[in-house]
Amino acid sequence: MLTLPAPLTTEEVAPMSLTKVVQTLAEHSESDRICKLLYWVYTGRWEATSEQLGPSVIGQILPALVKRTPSYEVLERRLYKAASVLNKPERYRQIAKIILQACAALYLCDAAPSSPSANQFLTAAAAATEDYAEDALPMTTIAQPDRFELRRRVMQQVPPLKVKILLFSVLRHPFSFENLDWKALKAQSLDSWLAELTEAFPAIDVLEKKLFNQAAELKRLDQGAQIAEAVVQALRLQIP
Amino acid sequence: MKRANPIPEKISVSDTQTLLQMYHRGVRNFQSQSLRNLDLTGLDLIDVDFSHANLSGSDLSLSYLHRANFRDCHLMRSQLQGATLNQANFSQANLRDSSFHGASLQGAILCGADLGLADLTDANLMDADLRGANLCSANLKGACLRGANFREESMVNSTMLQGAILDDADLRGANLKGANLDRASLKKANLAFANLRGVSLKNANLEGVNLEGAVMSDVDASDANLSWANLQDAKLERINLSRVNLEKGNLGSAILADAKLNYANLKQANLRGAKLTRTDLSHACLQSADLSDSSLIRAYLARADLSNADLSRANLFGAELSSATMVRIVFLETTLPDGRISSP
Repeated sequence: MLTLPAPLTTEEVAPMSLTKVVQTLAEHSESDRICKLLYWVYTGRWEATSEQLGPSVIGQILPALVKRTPSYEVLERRLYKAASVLNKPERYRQIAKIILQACAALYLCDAAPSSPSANQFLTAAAAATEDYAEDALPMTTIAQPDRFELRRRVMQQVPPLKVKILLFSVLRHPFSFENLDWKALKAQSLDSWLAELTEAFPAIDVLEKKLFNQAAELKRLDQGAQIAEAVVQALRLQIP
Repeated sequence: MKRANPIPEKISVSDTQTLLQMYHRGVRNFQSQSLRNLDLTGLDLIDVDFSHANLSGSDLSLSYLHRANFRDCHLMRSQLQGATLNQANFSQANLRDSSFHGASLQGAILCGADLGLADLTDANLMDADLRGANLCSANLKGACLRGANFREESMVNSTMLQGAILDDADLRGANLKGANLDRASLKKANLAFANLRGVSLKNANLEGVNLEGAVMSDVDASDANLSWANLQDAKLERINLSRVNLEKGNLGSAILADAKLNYANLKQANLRGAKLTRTDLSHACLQSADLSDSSLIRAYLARADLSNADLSRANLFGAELSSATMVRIVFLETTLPDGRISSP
């Protein structure tokens, strides 16, 4: 589990709208799952039990997540995409919906840039993030990549099939080299695997750790570290 | 890497173990050997010489075969998935129905190779030499063919890509001059700035393809599907686009002089600033098309449907518009066929 910083004092740094959203979600009957989904979206890690996260996670993650998500549509896509790769995608789609409903007001506010509350919110969110971004939540986000360029850069270093094996292992389960896994691996193009990877792990530092850890664990895949390095390097070039 | 001296005496390899032992002893020459149905997965066989050998049905997946020589080799229905084959030589090899899924073939020589029905999905074919290769009905979906060469100087044995699947393939800057791509599928492929001069694309599916800046002079793309295609700034002189579907296509600033677009569907297409001098647009559907700032000098628009089209600042001098449907057209400073300019 990542070490999360001390809970945010949103009352001090954020306007009422953000505080209310955090409070609404923290008090929601599904708050445990809300915590898990937010943590998953933000860190790319899954915590099976909510005890490991604690209720303060919402107050810690939400301001930073909203700050780095430029529009409601992007937040919507990110949450639904993250929910879709989980074991219970439908249940977590409902959780995503709850989060989105609560956050809608923040983006409505943001739509009017001249409004003082919008500026106030953004400043507060920025300040809140800077407080703990260094040690806990690395969030150098990956821009929407040029898929042809990304693919070319990755392929230039290592055979594409080996890249797919590593990405499969990161996004599904360690590749078994059995027929069923081969079929699933081939059913998706390299582009599609890369797109899923960047959606699931928007933070490059988290993604890097995940790739290298998986590469080390996957004994039957040689060049593991080289493959991880090729993917990370190609993605880093997509960061503006 | 320096190659080991070939073994002069006749050798015989019947199993993987023997082959590996010989390789580790420094043997690289396995020319003309019968190596059928061998399991060679994941092996390191750099610089090996399999020319004229029979490896049909063998599994070479995930192997390292840099600079390997497969010249005239028989590899029909063999597995080369995820193999590293950079700069390998497959000239005249029989690779029919073999699988190169996710393989790395950067700079590989595939001149005259038979890759009919081969699986090359997600393969890296950057800078590969594919002159005169047979890729009919091969699957190249998602492959990277950037800088690949398909051009046969003599044009006698042009690369055959009839019925090939090239969806999402990266063909930026590729030289496809004279290739035959009839009935090929190139959906959402990237062919920006590629050389397609004289290519045959009859009945091809090019939906959503990117052909920005591509050179397509003298191409025959009749009956092709080019809906949502991007042909911005493409050079399309004398191209045959009869009966094509170019609905919502982008032909902004494209050069279409002397092109054939009769019976084409150009509904809602962007032809802003396009050069359509002497172009045959008879019977074409140009409903709601943007033809502003285009040059239609002496264009043939008989029986074309121009309803709701935007002809602002277009030049129609000498154009033939007999029996054309001209309903709700936007005329703004348009040069009419008789040379008059419509009032703003």
